[in-house]
Amino acid sequence: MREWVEPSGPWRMVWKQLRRDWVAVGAAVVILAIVGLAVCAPLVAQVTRHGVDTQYRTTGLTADGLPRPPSREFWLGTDDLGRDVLVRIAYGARTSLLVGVAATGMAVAIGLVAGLVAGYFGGAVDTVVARLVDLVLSLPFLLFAIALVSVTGPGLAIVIVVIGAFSWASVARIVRGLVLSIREREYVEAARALGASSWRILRVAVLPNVAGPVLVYTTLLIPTVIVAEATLSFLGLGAPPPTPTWGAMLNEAVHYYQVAWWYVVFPGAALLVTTLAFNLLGDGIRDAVAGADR
Amino acid sequence: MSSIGGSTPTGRMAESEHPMFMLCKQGGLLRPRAILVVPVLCLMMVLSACVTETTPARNTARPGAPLTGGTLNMLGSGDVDYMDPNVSYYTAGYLGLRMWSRQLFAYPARPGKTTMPAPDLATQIPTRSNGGISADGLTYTITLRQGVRWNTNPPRPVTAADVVRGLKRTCNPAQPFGGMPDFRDLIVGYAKFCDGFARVPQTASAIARYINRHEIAGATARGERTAVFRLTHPATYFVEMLTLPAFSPAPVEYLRYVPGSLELARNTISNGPYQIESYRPTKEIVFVRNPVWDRSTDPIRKAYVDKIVVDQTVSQESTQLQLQAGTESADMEWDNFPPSSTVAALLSQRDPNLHLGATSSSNPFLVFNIVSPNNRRAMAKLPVRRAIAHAIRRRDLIQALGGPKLNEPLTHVLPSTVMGSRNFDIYPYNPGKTRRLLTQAKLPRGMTLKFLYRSDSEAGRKVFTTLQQNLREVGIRLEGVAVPNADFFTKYLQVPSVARRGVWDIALAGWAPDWHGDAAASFFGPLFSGKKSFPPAGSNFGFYNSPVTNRLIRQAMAAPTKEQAAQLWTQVDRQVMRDAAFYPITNPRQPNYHAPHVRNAVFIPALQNFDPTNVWLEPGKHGG
Repeated sequence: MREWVEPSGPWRMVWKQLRRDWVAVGAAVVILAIVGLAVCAPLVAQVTRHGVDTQYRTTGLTADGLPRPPSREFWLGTDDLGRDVLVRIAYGARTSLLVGVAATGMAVAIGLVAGLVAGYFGGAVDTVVARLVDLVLSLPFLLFAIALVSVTGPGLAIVIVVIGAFSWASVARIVRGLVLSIREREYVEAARALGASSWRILRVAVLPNVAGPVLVYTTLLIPTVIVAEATLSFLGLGAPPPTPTWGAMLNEAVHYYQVAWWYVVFPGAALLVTTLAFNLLGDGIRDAVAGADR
Repeated sequence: MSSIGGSTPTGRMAESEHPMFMLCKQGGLLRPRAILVVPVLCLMMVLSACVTETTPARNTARPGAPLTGGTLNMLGSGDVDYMDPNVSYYTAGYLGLRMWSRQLFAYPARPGKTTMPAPDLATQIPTRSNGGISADGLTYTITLRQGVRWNTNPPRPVTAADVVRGLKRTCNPAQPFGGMPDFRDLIVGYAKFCDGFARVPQTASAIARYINRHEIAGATARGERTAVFRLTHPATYFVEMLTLPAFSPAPVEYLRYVPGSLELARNTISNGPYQIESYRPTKEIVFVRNPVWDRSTDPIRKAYVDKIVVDQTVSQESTQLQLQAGTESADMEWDNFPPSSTVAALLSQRDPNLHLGATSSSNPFLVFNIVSPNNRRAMAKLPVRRAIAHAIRRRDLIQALGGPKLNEPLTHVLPSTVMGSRNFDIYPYNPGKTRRLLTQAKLPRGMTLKFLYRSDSEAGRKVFTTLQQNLREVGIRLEGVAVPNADFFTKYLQVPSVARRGVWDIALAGWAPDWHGDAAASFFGPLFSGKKSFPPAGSNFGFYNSPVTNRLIRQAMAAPTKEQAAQLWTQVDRQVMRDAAFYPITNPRQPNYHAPHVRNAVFIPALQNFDPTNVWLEPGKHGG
C-alpha cells in the first residue's frame, strides 16, 4: 500500500520540529506563564490584598525600616518601603515585557527595512546604510544612554527609544547579508525579468526568505532588551519611582543584601528565568528553522 | 548644606555628593614633605620613627590605661578637599587637619564636652571677666600659648601674626574658604580686604604681595602672642566660630604657594602632633610624629599612636568587613561609614564598637518653594504650606530613613544640641486639618506638586515615595523630579529662575552647621534670613522672606549675652515654623565603627568621626 506524505509548508515544518524540542516547549510555557503573570498583575494584587505602591509600614517593615521576610501575609517578603515584593514583581513583568516587545519591535522594524533596502538596492544606498550601521554599532550603549537620559530625564518611553535605537543595527546587518545572497537567486532574476517591481520582489520573493532568521534573532533580542532595560533601571535611568521594574528593584535591594536575601533573590530570579526562557526558545526556533531548511 | 544621600552629613553639603568636593580630588603623586627638611631634622625624624616603631607598647600598670605607640590604620574611599587649613571646608579635610594643624580653639575629645570649644593654641576661653572680651562685646583679645612651634628649620614659634595671616588667606582669589559668608561682615574691615583681594591675579606672588601690603582693620597682632579681633556687632558665637580650621595660623612660608594648591599640599608645615610624611591624592596619606610638637602645650591631642596611615582606596563594604575582622591593619574609618543594612544588624547585636553620634544637623528636610507659580501660587499661601505640614507623618519618613535609633525626630529648626533649641511641634500629623486648610485656601481640586530629589540618592527615593503616599491620602498628587546628583544644586536649587519657573514645589535638602554649640546663627543666617540668604549666594532655596524673622535674626546675632541670644533664637525658631517655611524631619545620628582593639574612641561632631589623635591601640594590635 502506498503511503501518502502530506505536503508541508516551511512554517509547518518549523512548528513540527519545534514541538519535538522539549526544552523549547518548556521555555515557551515559562514565557506564557510570565506573560500571564504580567496580564494578571492586578489579580495578584487583589489576591494578596496588597497594592503595588502601597507601603505597609506596620506589617511590612521593622521599626528600623528594614524589609520583612516571606510570610503568610507577604509571600515573597517586602521591600525597603514595606511594599509586597510579589506584587511588584508581577507589575515589574509588565514593564519588562512591554519594553522587551516594544523596543525589539522597533529595532526589528527599522533593521528589517534598512537591511532590505541596503541589500537589495546596493550602491550608494547600501554604502550609507552600512556606514550608519557601523556608526550605531560603534557607539557605547551605556554611555550614550546615560548622556541622553541626563538630558531628557528618566522614563519608560526614553528607555524604549534608546534601546530600540541601539538594537536595529545588528538586525539590519543580518538582513542585508541575507538579501545580498537572495537577490542573486534565479527566482528573483525571473521575477525581475517578468517585470515585477522592486517592492513586489522584496515583499513576495525576499521578505519570506529572511523571515525565519529574523524570527530567530527577534526571539534572542528580546532577552537582551529586557536585560538592557534592567541595566538602565538598575543605574537609575529607567522608569522613575514608584514604577516597579525588576532592574530598579535590584538596585534598591543592593543595600539590603546582607539582611534581606528575598529582596535580591526574587526579582533577580524573575529576570534570570525570563531571559533564560527567551534564549532557550530562541535556540529552539533556530534549530527548528535550520532543520526545516534541510 | 548637607545632602541626604549618604550617611555622612558633614559640615555643610555632604562631601560625597558635593560637586566642589569631587573637583578637589587631585591626581598625581606628592613628594613627601619630609625630604625637604635638612639632614639634621631628617635624622631626628628617622631616629624617632625607628625608636617608636620598634619599641613594644608601653603599657602602664593600670589595665585599660592609655598605651603609646603603634600605627593607626584608617580606611576610606575619599580624599581631603584641600590640604590647606585656611581653605578646607569639609569634614574629611578637618579630620586630616586634626593631626597636623592646630586652631585657637578646638572641640576636645571628652565625652559630653565635644561640642564645647576648649583652648587649643589660645591660653584660655575669652570672657568679659578675664578681659578676653571687651565690655561692649566687640573686641576679642586672645593670647597664644608659649612653646607651640612650627616644624620649620629651625623650629619657630607660632605667632599672632601667623593667626592674622591665616585669616587673610581665607578670602584669597584662587580658592576662597567656602564658609566665608559666616564672618564676612562680622570682622571689621574683612569684607573690604576681601573685595580688594578678589581683584588680585591668582598667582602666588600676587597673593603674597596683597597679603603683605594690606591689613584687615579688625584682625591685628599685638606683639608675638596676642591676636585681637574687632567685630562689627557683638557675636556670642564668635569663639565657637574660631574653632573653624579656617582661622588656623599660617606660617609665612605658605605665601610661596597658591592657597589650596597641590604645591602647598607637598610643602605643608605642621604645628600639631603629626606631620605629613607622604600624601598621594586619593590614594594614601601617612602622618608621622612631629618631632617639635610638645605634648605639654597641647590640651586637645594626646597623640598616643606613633603613626597614622590613611588608605583611601577601600570600599565601604570592605572597610566594614576589615574593621569587624579585627585585624591590626584596619583600625578606624576615614570617610567610609557602616553600610545602612549593616548598621541595623550591628544595632540588633548591640555591637559595642558601633557608635551613633549626634550630628547637630537637620538632614534631610523639605524645602517649600514659596515662589512657585504652580497651582495658582499655592505654595505662597501659608494655609497650604501648613496643610502640607499637617499631612506628613514624620514617623513614616523616619522609618524610611532607618528608624528612630538613627534618626532623632526634629519638629523645628534647631537640633536639640544647639543653643536656643526648645522642643515644640506645631504641625502634628492631622489629615483632617489638612483638608480643612485646603478647603479654606480654595485651591483647584487634585493639586499636583513637584518634588525635587536626587535620582541616585537612596534616601531621596524613599522620602519621595513615602511622602507621595502621605499626600495622596489628602488628595494631593506628588510628581517626582529626579535629577542627577551633580545637577541638584548647581542647576536646580542654586538657580533662582528654576524655582521661579515652578520646576519644583518641594525639594529635599539638608543642613549641618559650620560649628557647634552656640550655632543657631549657622542655621538661620544661611537658611532663613530673607534676601541676603537667597540663592545662589545663600541656601534659602525656597525664597522665604519674613520681615519679622529677619528682624529677630538680626537681634539674635547681635545679642550681648548667650542667655539673651538663646531666647531670641528660640523666638526665631518659632516664627520660622509658624510661617511653615520648611518641614524638618530629623536630626540624624552618625553611625561610626572602629575595630575592637581601638580604645578611647571619642566621637567629635565637628569631625563626624572618632578623634584619631586621642585613641590608643591594644597590645599586639599595633599595626605596621
